[in-house]
Order: sequence, then structure tokens, then C-alpha cells
Amino acid sequence: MNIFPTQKEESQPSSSLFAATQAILRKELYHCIEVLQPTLRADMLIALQSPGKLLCQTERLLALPAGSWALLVFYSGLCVHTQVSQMASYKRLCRTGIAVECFICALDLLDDVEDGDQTPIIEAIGISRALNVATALLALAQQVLLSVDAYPSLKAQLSLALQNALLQATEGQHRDLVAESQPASDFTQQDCIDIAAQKAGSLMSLACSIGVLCVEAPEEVYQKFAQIGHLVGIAAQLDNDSHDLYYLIHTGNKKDHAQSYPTTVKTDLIRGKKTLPLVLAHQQRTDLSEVLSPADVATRQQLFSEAIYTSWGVSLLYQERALECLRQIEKEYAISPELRALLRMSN
Amino acid sequence: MEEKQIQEFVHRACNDESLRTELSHDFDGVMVKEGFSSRVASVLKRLTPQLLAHEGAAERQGLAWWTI
Repeated sequence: MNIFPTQKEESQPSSSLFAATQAILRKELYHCIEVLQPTLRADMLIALQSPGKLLCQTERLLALPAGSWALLVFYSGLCVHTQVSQMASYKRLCRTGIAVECFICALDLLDDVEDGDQTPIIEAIGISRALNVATALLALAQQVLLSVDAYPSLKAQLSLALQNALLQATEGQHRDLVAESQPASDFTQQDCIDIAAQKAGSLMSLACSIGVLCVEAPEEVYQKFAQIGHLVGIAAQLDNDSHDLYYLIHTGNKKDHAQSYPTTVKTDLIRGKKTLPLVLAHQQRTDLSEVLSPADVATRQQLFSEAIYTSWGVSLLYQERALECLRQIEKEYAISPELRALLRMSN
Repeated sequence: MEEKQIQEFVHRACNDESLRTELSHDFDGVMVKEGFSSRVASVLKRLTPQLLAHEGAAERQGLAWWTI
């Protein structure tokens, strides 16, 4: 099946197109890891088969197709027209997509360890092996990028883009970790948005723009795609944070909460992450130390509901800004339904 | 700036029943009166159903409305 979008207008993403692209990306990924020592490869496969990752087999349960990071690289690169031949673009995008998929998988593993989340892979292989798999995935991402069929200066640019995103994301993660031991009153709305921009905006910006870079699109086009990713990443992070607090206020106490909702939600909140809705709630003089107690639930829900609406509203604001940026790009390039879906801008 | 506008408007809507009533009858008029940009108005349009049903709404409605 031809994985390149046809010229005809489609408003809905094609699941068969996604499936065909996933199959090609998976084949490429298996090829990349087949040289690894078997025990390391086995653990790496567990990581790459986690929900949402490219090798996951249960994607129907998720909002986005499996391997959405690699797909985002692929479809953003495909939508710009350059002097690079279609076949060369296709080969570069496959490898660059695989590199980003491995890169994000590594950072997710590191996040799990740093946040103390008992995710299935941590339970399966333990912290030490998970850390080693993360290291290997980071090295693999770099190796795959440097093996892209392109001239040396382009490879250097691709590598630099990856390293810049890594530094920004780890800076954001570090601020987030340090914030756990600081009072919420020390944080402003802008601080929370800045952390979201570093943690999530930087990674989504990479995924949206590195494909455009690898097919040698003009600098201004590359910057526009980077900007869209930055905005979409912030919007997604704030939306997640809003959902997390929603879960918390609709459970009466810590024990029920632990049993009813994902471990990551519980640990984020118990560890004292300074997410936007929590900081906004604090600004309304809510006593966060009693968040998990069952007392005075109605008043607390009222205050937190307002914080959640505001946080969700700010998330929507960033989504609107991303949409405006996308409309700017649409003046020059057709945006495929697949790319739109991956950016969560289908409607 | 726009972030602050959203924060302040949500606070007012959550605590002012007359504003909620006005929103339910004439959303566009409220947006014009407040002088909001089309971008902020678009965000508030999506938030308004929740703001109008503010008291206990989240529990009743679940998360079905909450997607980006």
C-alpha cells in the first residue's frame, strides 16, 4: 500500500494509512534493535510495547495510534514539499521517526523512575534494568539519527535538534522535581506554564519539526512547525494536569484514590507536583495539605472545580494558538487528516 | 494577558449567578461587552456549558465533555 497521502481531499484520518505506516516503521525499528544483545533487546521490547508505543498491539484503547511520536515525525515531514525526492524523504522520515520514538520511550522510562511510578515495565524489569534500557534507547536514538541517509551537516542539525529537546525537557523535569519540596505559594501561573513548555512543549516541538528539518524544508517552515508543537505540547500537558486534579477531587480519600485511578495520577499529586490547577487552587487559599482528606468535600470541590475550569481554559487557549499557527502553514501546504489527527486538531 | 482574562472570567462566572444567567441568554453579547478577543471568546464558548452548570456539574457530567 502506498503510504503517501493522495491528492484527494479527506477529512478523516485513514486507519489503513496509519496501519501501513506503522507496519513500515515497526519493520525499521525491529531492524534497528536486532543487533542488540538478546537480554537487552528483550527488555527494550517490553518498553517499546508499552501502551501507546510503536510496538504496542492494543492501540484501539487509546485516543492516538500506537507510535504516534514516530507517526508525527513522518506525517509532518511528508506534508511539506522540498527538493528532496519522495523516496529519499520517505527513508529519512522513517529513520528519524524511529529515533524520536526511541528517544521519547527513554524519557518516559526515566520519568517513571524519577517520579516513583510503579508502571508495568518497572514492575516487570525493576529500576536498574529500566534505567539501563533508557540509556540504551537514548544511544540508539542518536545512532539511528546519525545513520540517516543525508549529508553530514544535516545529520548534525538533526542530532542538535534532538539534544536541544533533551536538555530542555530535562531542565523542565528538574524544575518539576525541585518544585515538589517547595510551597505552592512560590509558584505563579506563568511558572507552571513555563515548566509545561519545557517538559512537554520541547518534546512535541521536536516531533513536529524534526521531520520537516530532515526533508530540508525552509527555515521559516521549520520554525512554524516547531511553534505548533510547542503550543500543542503545552496544551496537552495542562489538559493532563486538569484531568489529574479532576480525578483527585472526585475521590474522597487517599485509599480510594489509590485503588480507583492510575498510579501516575496518585503519585504526581501525593508527591506535590506544582501543576497549574493545583497552584491556581492554592491562590484561592485552599489548604492543599488537606486535599486528600475526606472532610469538607463540597467546599473543596467547589474551589478545585474553578481551578480545573481555569486550567482547562488555558489549555484550550494554547490549542487555539496552535490552530492559528496551523492555519498559517495551510496557506502554503496541505495538512493531511492524519497529521491533523496526530496533532489532535481533527475538528 | 489572555490567560489572566480567562482566569478572572472563570472566577467571576463561578461566583456570580447573574453573569451565568447573562451568559446563558446572550453569550456573544457578554463577549463583546468584556472586550475579549475572538480567541478568548472561542475558549470561553467551550467552557460555558460547564460554567453554567457549575454547582456539582463535574460529578454529574463525568469527563465526556472534556477532550481536546
